[in-house]
Amino acid sequence: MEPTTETFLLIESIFHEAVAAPEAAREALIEARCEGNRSVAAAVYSLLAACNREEREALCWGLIAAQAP
Amino acid sequence: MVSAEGEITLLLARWKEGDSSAFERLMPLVYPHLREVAAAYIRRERNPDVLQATALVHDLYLRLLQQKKAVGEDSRHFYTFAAKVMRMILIDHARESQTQIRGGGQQRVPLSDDLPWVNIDSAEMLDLNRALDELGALDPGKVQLVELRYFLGCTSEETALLVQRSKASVDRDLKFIKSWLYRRIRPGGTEDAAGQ
Repeated sequence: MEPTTETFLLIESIFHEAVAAPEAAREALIEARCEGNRSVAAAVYSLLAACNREEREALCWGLIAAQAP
Repeated sequence: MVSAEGEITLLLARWKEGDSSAFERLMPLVYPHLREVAAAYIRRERNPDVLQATALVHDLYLRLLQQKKAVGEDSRHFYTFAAKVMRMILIDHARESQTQIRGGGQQRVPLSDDLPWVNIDSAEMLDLNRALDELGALDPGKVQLVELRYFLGCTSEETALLVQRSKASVDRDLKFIKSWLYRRIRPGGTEDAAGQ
């Protein structure tokens, strides 16, 4: 489903707050900010997971590039 | 009769004011030069000694407009324009690469050191292009950041200067954008409200 611009901006805003928060406090923060909107919460969790995966893959490619002749 | 330099300046001003037809008319004037820049950009990835794309675009700007200094509004809009054209050129390059039958051992060339999981010669570039079109429908300003930072090769500092924002705010946006793009290109979850 394509989000509206308003939903997209809300997701982005919660994402930034979650990234800045200590990891242990993230879930409570997301649940509070989403106010029961499960699809927005799912989007934020999914983006945080993608953020971790992206950083791990970027790190791997960086290591591979550093070892290239 | 308006000179080519005068026409570029005029069209840039019109594009800046929101005349999208000016972009189409600017393209043939600048595209061949930017193709050379793109070729050098790809060579730079393979050979770090070659000049950076941003330096080449700066030279191009000076050459086209025949000015001694590239400063101010026109320069900013030229870079934004050049970044958009570079995206088109690099996507065309990826399309051409996809149609050619290649042997083994093709060297992997990342679009950017900060986006190393997108290979410039691969179908990932086409996925990236589609994802950027979707992102642009939600927030065109974010696509502009990607074009400047990853397609033109500006640093975060240069990008911040060009969009007249702080580096911290640009870096923060890019972190979100990279996550959003990664999820689009490398899906690993279920459908949700962010458009996966």
